[in-house]
Amino acid sequence: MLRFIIRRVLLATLTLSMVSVITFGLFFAIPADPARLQCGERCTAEQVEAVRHNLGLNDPIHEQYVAFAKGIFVGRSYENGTECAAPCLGLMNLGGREVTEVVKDAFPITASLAVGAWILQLTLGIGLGMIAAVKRGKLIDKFAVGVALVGAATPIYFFGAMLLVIFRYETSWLPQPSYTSPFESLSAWFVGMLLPWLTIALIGFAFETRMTRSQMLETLDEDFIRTSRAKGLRERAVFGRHALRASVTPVATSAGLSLAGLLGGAVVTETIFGLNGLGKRAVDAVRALELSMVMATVLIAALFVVVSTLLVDLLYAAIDPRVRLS
Amino acid sequence: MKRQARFVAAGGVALAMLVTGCAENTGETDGNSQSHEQRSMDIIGTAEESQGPATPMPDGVSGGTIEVIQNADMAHLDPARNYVSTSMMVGNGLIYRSLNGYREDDTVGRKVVGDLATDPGTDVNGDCTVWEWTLKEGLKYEDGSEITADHIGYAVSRSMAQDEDGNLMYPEGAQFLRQWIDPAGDYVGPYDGDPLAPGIEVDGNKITFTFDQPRCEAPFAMAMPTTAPIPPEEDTKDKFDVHPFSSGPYKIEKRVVSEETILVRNEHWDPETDPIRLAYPDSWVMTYGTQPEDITTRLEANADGDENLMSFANTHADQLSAIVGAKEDYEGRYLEGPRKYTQYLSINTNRVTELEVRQALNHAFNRERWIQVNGGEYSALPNTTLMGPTVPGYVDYDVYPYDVEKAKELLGGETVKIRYAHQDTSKNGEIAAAMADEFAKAGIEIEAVPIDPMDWYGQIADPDNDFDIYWNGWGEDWPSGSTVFPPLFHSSSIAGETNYPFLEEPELDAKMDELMTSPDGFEAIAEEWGKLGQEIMEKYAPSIPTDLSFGVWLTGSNIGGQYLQENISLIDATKLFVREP
Amino acid sequence: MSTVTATQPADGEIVDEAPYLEVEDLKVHFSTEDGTVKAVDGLSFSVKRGVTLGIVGESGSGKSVTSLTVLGLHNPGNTTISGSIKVGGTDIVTASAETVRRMRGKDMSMIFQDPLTALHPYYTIGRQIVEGYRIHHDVSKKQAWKRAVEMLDRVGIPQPDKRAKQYPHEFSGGMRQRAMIAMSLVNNPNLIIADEPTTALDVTVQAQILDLLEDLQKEFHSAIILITHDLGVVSQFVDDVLVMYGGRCVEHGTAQQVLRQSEHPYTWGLLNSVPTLHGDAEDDLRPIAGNPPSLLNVPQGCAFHPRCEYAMKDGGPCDTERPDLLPVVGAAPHMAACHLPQDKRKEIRQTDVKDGS
Repeated sequence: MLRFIIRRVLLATLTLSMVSVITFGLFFAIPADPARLQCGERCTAEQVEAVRHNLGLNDPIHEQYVAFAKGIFVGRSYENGTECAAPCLGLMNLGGREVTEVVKDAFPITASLAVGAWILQLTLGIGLGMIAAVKRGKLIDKFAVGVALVGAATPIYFFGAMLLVIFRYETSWLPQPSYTSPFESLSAWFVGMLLPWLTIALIGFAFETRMTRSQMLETLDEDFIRTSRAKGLRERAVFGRHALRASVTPVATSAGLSLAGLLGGAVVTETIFGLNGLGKRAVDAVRALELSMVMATVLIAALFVVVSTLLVDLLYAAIDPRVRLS
Repeated sequence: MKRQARFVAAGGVALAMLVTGCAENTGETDGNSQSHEQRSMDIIGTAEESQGPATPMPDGVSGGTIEVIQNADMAHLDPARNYVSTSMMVGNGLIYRSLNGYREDDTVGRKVVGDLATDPGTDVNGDCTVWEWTLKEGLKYEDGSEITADHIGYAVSRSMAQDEDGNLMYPEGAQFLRQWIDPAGDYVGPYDGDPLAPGIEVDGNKITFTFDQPRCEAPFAMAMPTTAPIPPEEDTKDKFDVHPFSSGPYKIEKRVVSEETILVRNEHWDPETDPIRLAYPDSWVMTYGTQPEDITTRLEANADGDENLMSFANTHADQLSAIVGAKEDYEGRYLEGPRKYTQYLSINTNRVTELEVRQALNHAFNRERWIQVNGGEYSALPNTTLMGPTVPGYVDYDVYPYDVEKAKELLGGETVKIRYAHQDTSKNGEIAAAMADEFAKAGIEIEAVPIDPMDWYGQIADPDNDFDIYWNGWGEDWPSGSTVFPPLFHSSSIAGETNYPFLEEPELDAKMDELMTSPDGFEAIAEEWGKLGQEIMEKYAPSIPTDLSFGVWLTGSNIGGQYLQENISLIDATKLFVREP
Repeated sequence: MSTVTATQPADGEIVDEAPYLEVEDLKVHFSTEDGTVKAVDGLSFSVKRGVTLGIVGESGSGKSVTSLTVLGLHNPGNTTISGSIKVGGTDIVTASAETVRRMRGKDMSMIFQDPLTALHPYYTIGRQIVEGYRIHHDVSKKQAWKRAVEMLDRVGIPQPDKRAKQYPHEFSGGMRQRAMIAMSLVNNPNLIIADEPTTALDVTVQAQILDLLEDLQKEFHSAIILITHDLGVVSQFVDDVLVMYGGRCVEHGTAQQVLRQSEHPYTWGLLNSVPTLHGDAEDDLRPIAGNPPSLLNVPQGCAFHPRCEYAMKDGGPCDTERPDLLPVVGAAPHMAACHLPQDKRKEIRQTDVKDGS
């Protein structure tokens, strides 16, 4: 177990370093010039050069990478006197803000969005999927399958915009979605996140529904379910104790990875609702050629995936005694 | 003089008061006939016009908070680095004052006046080489300390600061004063050199600038953010960009870059000294991160709680026709008007070397179709001149009217192939396809080349590019041909800069150099610039003038005082108010 | 074992008068999109306590459906059942679902073919046995656990208290099937249905498991239905044999009768397809030509006639009339369903059919 974790942590470190190198390389492969973008169309070549110098983009790429990577572990001092303590992810070109600070602001937004939407999505998805499987072929099953199909076929961008129009613009039933810290005002936080949650969950739960339903149906066909009935178990125990337990493993795996994906930043939803979470920051960073921010968001997203894969594996081992961690 | 901004006001009285001007003014018009109206030459104001307070807006009331939503945060707020329209509107309009400024209202029209100074400037020797300004009395910073001429000298000197390697420390701002004071770039700034740049002298509340050449447009240059005062002890260098020290009606209470900016009143600002700013609201809350199309959607919806909302971004193209089609529905919160930006299809003269071909391209350009595919007259007004009507001295000419036969004749019946570069977006692709159809009628075969929008300017500014025509736009820094023609057509603006046709004509260069340093005074020079545009078109045909941009803005229903500030070409932050605070 | 008769099992114990399981004219039909599947179509048999009945047939002959129906494990949504299944006097067909559920695992239980899939992979063996015991006995977990360990011990699992805490995947195939048997017998059921209980196991383990079943039967005096396609198993362990084809019984008798004096060409086919240890293997093995019939569309006449090399066709009765299950003259309780005259059958058997013992 311990050896397994150590090995996985080493592997994760390697993965993250490779992701960082590749992202760094790709960024410089973009033909656009961050200095020109930062300075604007009217800047002369001399001005652009000065901006490039001020942004530290004049150094060789490998030196820039080393400086960035070193900053994460030991911090960085900048020419203009800015001290960026470890873990330093660099400074924003715009406004010179520490990327770590931006991440600290963006993460609670993304985390609120992700966890809330995820819980809603799993509750709806697993619940409806189970009901559909148990009542296979009945009206409720057809309804669940239909809803899942509609959910899977609806573009999230369209759906989010539709919710906004219905619940905000046309009716003013809800205030404009925005993030308030739950520690500041729990109700403002809840009301402000409601539409984003619904957007993600109502599109995403379709997947969990389909998965739970098919997994449950598959499990209900298993021999051990027949055995449990042959023992004389009540149907409730057959579903609850035997079928659900066996169906939940793959659902848990996908749920774990989807949470990781959401924590890495729900790009589309954050964009629709103007929430400055990690996903939106990532997209903005690419558009504005903010290298440090691009690196930070990619690394964080990768970190979530790596960590959650590890957690899912541990969870898997906890659920299924056949799984050995090695 | 006629106002360009048309405003659908809440009532007839307000409408009449806003849309005032010449006798032939017919008030609200649906077409855009007013847009090509020539502006007054009388654009440099007087000492009297430089006095505060500013002309109040009808029904204007103080108090309340205006909420601003923007897609992105302001590029720079450091006056030495502030050179982008929204940042200039917020910086110069709300937070700091410059030596001069633009007063635009129905009392004086549009004029450059003294802002911190008592008048727009005195040409000491009558040859435009030495200019002097005197500061008003009772000017205060946000901490109540006095604004002095020294601080203006320091701020201008600071804008030229260089680091140890000779790089500009604040490179993003306008460079006019630096070029006029220290064209060789010898001055390293106040940190390591003289506290004042060469040519700047301060004597009590007087400040004098001595230029390398006659600079008759100095009053305009002094209206740039660069002359906003900075006390040396408040100079936080890099961090000043995030949190500038206020000399205007508002100070920064909270600012998190790319998240939020909150402005509250600077109690030490005295409206009696300010001829420009009305500063009605008590505070401004600006947040960033809303997508451009969502800004329009939200403003259009005007849902509960969004009544005090506005944005400097104009209405998104996707929703434009729906909104202008029902503008009466937005009475009291709708603003439209022509903007100062002139658009062109620049012709790469390195590749299209024959004048006849460039002329044929001009004749073959179907402007009507162009306007149509660009979203109609509420986003683009047809235009045939290089310099727009917002610049005094404007001459309305059409050197190459749409004439397919004429174009064919100029081409001698031959077919020419033209590589048309456009930004790789669906809209620009459609425009290119439509224009290819039009040019084909004259035997001009268009090959459309889509370019990654992120790399657009890098590509078209490269003199070695392999495109023949491509779009670009320009708006003057101040109302003079000197900030239009040299950047666009002077050979010194070629490499990586804004002379996109790569025009290199010594005769033209000489003419422009002469005008830029002419001692003949603003009016005489303005007329010369006006004529030069027509001459450039006739002699070189380096571009196809396509259109003038047009702007439409919506605000929340509780906001009043919508006004198009022509100089920055945005909805005017200095005049907006909260109707029911 | 093959010398016993239907009324006198091997151990010589007195068999109860009344059969514990009585199946009368059982029909199990499934409705599917393609039509009605007649999985079982008019089946009658009975089993007394202490007796082992072997049901033999190819896959799709209806033998597994029969056993699931006896336990009431069919899908009530698409299954039509007629006839009667009396277990200890209660008719499963007409009894309420709850009554049948209470009987399942207690009065009648089942041993499945593949213990690896039939046991829940996420629960320990002990827990699964405990669960089966506590449904029918109001005892504490601790008592139930004790019982489970006892049962594991009884079925020959070494260190049962330790093994009870292990998961099915930690058991070998044979041990798993022992555990499965322990689970089935934990409530002392009177009827045990073993559906191919040894098919998934190594040959060496098969005999051990069957011996165990036999021992347990003596101890608990249960009726056993052993479903198999292995005539070798039949010859060694069962008292009576029922041969199924196309959802119907084609031959029924004591093991001795069916294996040594079989009266049905299908049974001959089965006997001929069993490998023997002597003689030329290639010559020896004669699998039945063709495929089992589709239960959606059973052939007219005798269901076996398309595959029967002795069938009387072309006006025949074999392809037109379904033969009834009739007693074999002079050999009660032997019965067969074949149009061939009895002496003709005897002739063929003597020349063409291997000894099934």
